[in-house]
Amino acid sequence: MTVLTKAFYTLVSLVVITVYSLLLIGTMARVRAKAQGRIGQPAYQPFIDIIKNNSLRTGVSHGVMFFLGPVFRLAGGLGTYLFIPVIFGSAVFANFSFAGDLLLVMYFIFFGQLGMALGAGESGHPYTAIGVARGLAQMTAFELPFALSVIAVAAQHGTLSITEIVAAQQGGVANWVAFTNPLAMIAGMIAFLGMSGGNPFSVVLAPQEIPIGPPTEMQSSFLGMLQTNRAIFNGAKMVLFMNLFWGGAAHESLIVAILIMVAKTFLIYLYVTIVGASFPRFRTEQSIRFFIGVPTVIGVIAVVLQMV
Amino acid sequence: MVSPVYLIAGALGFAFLYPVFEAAGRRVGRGAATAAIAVFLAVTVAWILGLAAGGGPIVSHTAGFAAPLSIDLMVTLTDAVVLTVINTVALFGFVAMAFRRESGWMGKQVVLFFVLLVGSYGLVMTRDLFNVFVFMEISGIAVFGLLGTSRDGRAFEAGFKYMVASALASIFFLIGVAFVYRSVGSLNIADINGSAHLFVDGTAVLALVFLTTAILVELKPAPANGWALDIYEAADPGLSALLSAINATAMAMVLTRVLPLLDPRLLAVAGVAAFAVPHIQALRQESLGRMLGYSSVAQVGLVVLALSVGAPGVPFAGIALPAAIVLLLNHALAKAGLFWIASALRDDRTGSGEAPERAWPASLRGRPVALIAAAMLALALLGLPPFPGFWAKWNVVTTLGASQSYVILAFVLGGSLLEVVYIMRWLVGVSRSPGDDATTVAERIPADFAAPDDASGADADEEGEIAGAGVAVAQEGEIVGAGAAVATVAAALVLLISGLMAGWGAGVGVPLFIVAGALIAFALLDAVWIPVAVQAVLAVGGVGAYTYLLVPRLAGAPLVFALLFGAGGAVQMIAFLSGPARRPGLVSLTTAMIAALLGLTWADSPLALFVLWELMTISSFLLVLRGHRGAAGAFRYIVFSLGSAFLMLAAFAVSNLQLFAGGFGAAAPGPGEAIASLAALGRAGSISVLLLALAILTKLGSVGVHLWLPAGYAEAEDDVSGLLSSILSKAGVFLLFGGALIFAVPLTPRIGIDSLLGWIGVATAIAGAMMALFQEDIKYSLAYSSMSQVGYIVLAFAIMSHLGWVTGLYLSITHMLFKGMLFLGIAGVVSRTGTRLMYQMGGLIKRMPFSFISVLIAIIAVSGVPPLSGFGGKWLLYSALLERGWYLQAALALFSSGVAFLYLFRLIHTIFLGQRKAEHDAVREAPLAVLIPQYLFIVAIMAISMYPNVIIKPLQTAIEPILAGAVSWEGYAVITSLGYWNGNAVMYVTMGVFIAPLIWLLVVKGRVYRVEQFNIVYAAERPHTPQSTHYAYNFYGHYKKAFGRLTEPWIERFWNAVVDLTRSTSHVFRSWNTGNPQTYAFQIVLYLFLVLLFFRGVVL
Repeated sequence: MTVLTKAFYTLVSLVVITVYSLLLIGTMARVRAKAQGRIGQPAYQPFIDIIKNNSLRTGVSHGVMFFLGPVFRLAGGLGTYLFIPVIFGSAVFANFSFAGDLLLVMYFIFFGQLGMALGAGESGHPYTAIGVARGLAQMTAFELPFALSVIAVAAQHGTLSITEIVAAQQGGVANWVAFTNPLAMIAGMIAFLGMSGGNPFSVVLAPQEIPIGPPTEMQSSFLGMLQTNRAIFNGAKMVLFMNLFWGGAAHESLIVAILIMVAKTFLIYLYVTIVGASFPRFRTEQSIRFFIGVPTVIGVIAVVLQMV
Repeated sequence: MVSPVYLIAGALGFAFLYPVFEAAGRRVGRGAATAAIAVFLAVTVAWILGLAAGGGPIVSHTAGFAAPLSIDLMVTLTDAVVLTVINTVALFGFVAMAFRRESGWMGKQVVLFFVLLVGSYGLVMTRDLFNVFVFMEISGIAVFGLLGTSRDGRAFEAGFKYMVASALASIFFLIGVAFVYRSVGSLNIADINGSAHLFVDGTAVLALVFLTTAILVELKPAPANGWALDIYEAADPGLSALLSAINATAMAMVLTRVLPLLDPRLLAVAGVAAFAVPHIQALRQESLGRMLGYSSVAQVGLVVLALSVGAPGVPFAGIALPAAIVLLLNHALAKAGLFWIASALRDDRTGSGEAPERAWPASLRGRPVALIAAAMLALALLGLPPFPGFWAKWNVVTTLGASQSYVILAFVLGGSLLEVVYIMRWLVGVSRSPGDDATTVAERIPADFAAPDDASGADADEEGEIAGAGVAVAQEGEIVGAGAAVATVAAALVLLISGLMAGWGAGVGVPLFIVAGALIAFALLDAVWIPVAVQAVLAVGGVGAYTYLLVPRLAGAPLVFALLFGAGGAVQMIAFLSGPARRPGLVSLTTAMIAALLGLTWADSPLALFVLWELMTISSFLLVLRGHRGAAGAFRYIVFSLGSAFLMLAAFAVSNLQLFAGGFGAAAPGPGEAIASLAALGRAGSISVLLLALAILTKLGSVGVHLWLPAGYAEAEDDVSGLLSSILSKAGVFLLFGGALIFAVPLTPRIGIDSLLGWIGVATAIAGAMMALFQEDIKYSLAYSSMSQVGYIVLAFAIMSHLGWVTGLYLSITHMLFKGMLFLGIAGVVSRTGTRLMYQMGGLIKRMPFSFISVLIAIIAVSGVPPLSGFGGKWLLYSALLERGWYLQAALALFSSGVAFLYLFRLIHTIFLGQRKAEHDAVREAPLAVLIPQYLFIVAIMAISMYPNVIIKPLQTAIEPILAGAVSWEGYAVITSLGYWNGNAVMYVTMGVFIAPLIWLLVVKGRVYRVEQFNIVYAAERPHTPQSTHYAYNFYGHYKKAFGRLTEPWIERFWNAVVDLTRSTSHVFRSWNTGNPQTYAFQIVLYLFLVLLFFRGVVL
């Protein structure tokens, strides 16, 4: 495969995930509104936000690191997505999964978070740092059940390669990790709630009140990049979970495979939205205690079952 | 050669003549006396030369009759050496006492001193049992006289107690002599020894009971030695030096004369009690004289114990006596020297006592000669290399191991550790920085934020501490007279030279001499005021040359670590180019430490390995001690480190030197053979490996035994901390890998040492990371981070697979790089801001951008975020863990790495981002010399990140001979049975996904205005001051809340309880010595009774 072909495939893959994820975010915002008895925004609102932010004539920067923060963030999102194979057996959607396995993806998630936190930190806004402190603390806590779940899956299939994990799940719903290793799936899916930052784990950004967290000082095209990243990064995470637990997306027809991917990730996101709409918010220490409690125990059991 | 009798006659004659000399003037008297002792010394030296050249012992039959009718005086080579040491100490001791400014000896004191010499000479030379009694009495009278002439009431009282005790001993001795004569019909010791078979029935055994008790009591054995300690406490330290060195040495020689008559088990029991008990009692001593006294009686106990040591079934296999003599002489010089320092200091404090009121002795900083001498003497006393006592102790301990006397071995090493505690506490006290109250073992947070207009909050805080500490440097003029100084330095030099010669003899010459040479050469440069920068250049060149010469000789793990120690050390020493021009000892100690580490990599025997290990420990301890507030940390460091060293010594002894047999030299057995030879030892083999593992874990600061680590690293000077954390911490790691597969030896059929190591490693990783999280002081945070990272290395090692070991070595190298960078980066920041507390910093990115970039790259590398080299370490680690089936450990390691991400972010955020304080508006970038090493390391990190094969493949080659690999390569992609990683591709993808959005942003950004500090969207509030706007203090308070009681210092509490228990035990043992002469007399009679019981149980 030439470099140009790969570049073209990458572009296709990125456009698909960006457009889809933005629509998904808009849709879910609408779902949430319905649950709260509001009409909600149009599903295409995220597109409008991004275009608007990128079109602003002026912006404010606090320094070089601040300037680079959103770039790091988007690079993190793009990289995470590009190291995951999206559609099983598709050359277009295999991305750069040859560069590394599941561990690479798990660690590349940090890349954007770190860069963003640093960039936002240069603004000197205390709420930024507060948000980051909360977010990182919560992250370490949900990483524990997540890691256990991933290890259980890797041990189950004897591989850390995402492609091979998906391959092992082909041949029917019964082969999905969700059913062959349900405890790992449960631990992983609970961890996913934390990773998504919706209620009850939304204290990181606290979007309804005074905004905190990295975006606090962000505006104009900086904010636009963050919004783009949010879509791609969310997409990447959902695809990852789909691959790990829900059989991935595979079909002879690429269109059908994409539709399978859309359906599965939609349901995964819907699950996050439903939980979010149903529960109030935890304080940081409550989130931490939650994650190192029951989900971790479930994860440990899943791992121990693989050991015996 | 001069007849022995003339020595006695000469001393006695001079004692009579002295008043005549003094009548001509005090100066004449002192000069004549000094000259007389010098003549005696010359005689004994001549004897050594004569006897060493060949020929039998020098014998003098009094009155021309042969034994048993005459009294034999005999001088063997050993006796000549002992007499020479006695005369050396006598010469220096006399100079110290007679030439001091105040209350120098004169008149009857000098006469009595010569009488004491007569007694000691006689005790060493006589071969007649009754004559021994005579000389015991002569010595006793002289000592009593010297004590009695003191104007100090306490000394007089102590003299009375001494009379009581020595009278009892004399009576016992005389009864023994009478009974012996009844049984043997001769008082000639050779005849008596020749009739050892006669000592089986009642009277003869009773004779032995009395004789043994008398000799032992004269040696002041615990628990019948309270009287002796009262003397040491009350007497003039100068006199104590002579008592401890001359009198005890002579009496110990008497014991060696009758060895064939004695049961080694009795000596072993008496020796263990005499060695261990005083060490416990000494722990709480608040009087230096008494503390040294306890040490003195314990050391003589060790000599008694050493005399009992022999090969199994062969009690005196010729090994014990030389070792015992060397111990005796080492002790004589070291103890005399310490007493002289005590006498010069006139400071009787020891640093004992509970924390706040603890009375530290005055600091000797600013008096380099006294300080160096004190350190050398203390190290010599503790039996550390290169001093003679070390070689003897090694001999004793390994012989104990070979003869499977494990209980005695435990007592010897345990007692030695207690001695380390109280001697090092004093040493730390006298060598600490003048402003250091020696309490800093954790970060110090001022009660409240410094006022905003206070430009240097931290400085003010530290000045406050200095004022509050209430300690001062020894006042000018407090060091009385030059005599003590000359004597002390001479003793230290004699010990050093003889120790180095012994090292040469033991085959550890070259690496030892390189370390000693580096130490001495740079110390001399310090002495002639050569600036640190010049020294640093020489040191970098020297270390580089040593490494360059070493590398072609090495292969495998030793090669990897030699490069790590040499290159890592040399690069970091570049930072010494900045900073003050005069920092005495810095380059000297650092170079010695690196030389010891490098020496470790080509040690060719367990002995060489251990010697270099100890040298590395000592030099690093002194480096920590140099820190501004480093005393308490250094104290913990040395206690734990020597505890670790003694565990290692025990491991070597128990394994009968099978561990690291051949070291890393050509003679070293292959991994298979090493395991086979351990397996042949059976249980002893696995126990020795366990002991070695515990030793290494302690040195690595694993959780539970990590208490030395935080202050040890953090309180060292800023540019030294990095060396300690990045280089020194790898010494233990090196031994893990250098030991090849010995740690795969199972402890029991079900439990492997490797799995224990694995769990300890992961627990350390988590504990270290958690503690790093809650520190406000950046250096403490980094210290705990170091602990955590080394935990990963232990975990990786414990996997015991090819991949695991590649991981371990890879982590060792990358940890060296990024921890060096972090500590140096922080050193730069601290040097500019004057504070180590993170919340007092902030917003420094614009002032110190180069430091920021370096710290940024380092934290990306530490946290394992791709694409930098840290990810390679994580990927290798998890792959190896999952391959081994260690799933839970893998999950915990992942959790720990998440926590690491937390403290790393906090580090960079609170220092470089957020709000800059007004007082830091004008800070400059870190000095160039501090930045250069960091950027050299950045180049290395970038190269490893981009081309991981460059480093991983050689590591694989290094490990291949020991553990075959299942790792394959496809281009730049490394492939294991579980997964794959292409560092090169990751780097390119990352660059791509970074550059594309950057270009996008540059295109669409519109006009971007740069705004000033404080121009933020602050939700209807107005930012007030940087202090109130910078979110930094208690950054992860919620984390602490979440983990609640788990974050409490349980381990610190445990060790505090251990300390309390030891102190209480010490108190119980101490109260046995009431100070009442009747009690002491009772103790001696009881001792006789115990000896009697022993003989009845064993012999009758």
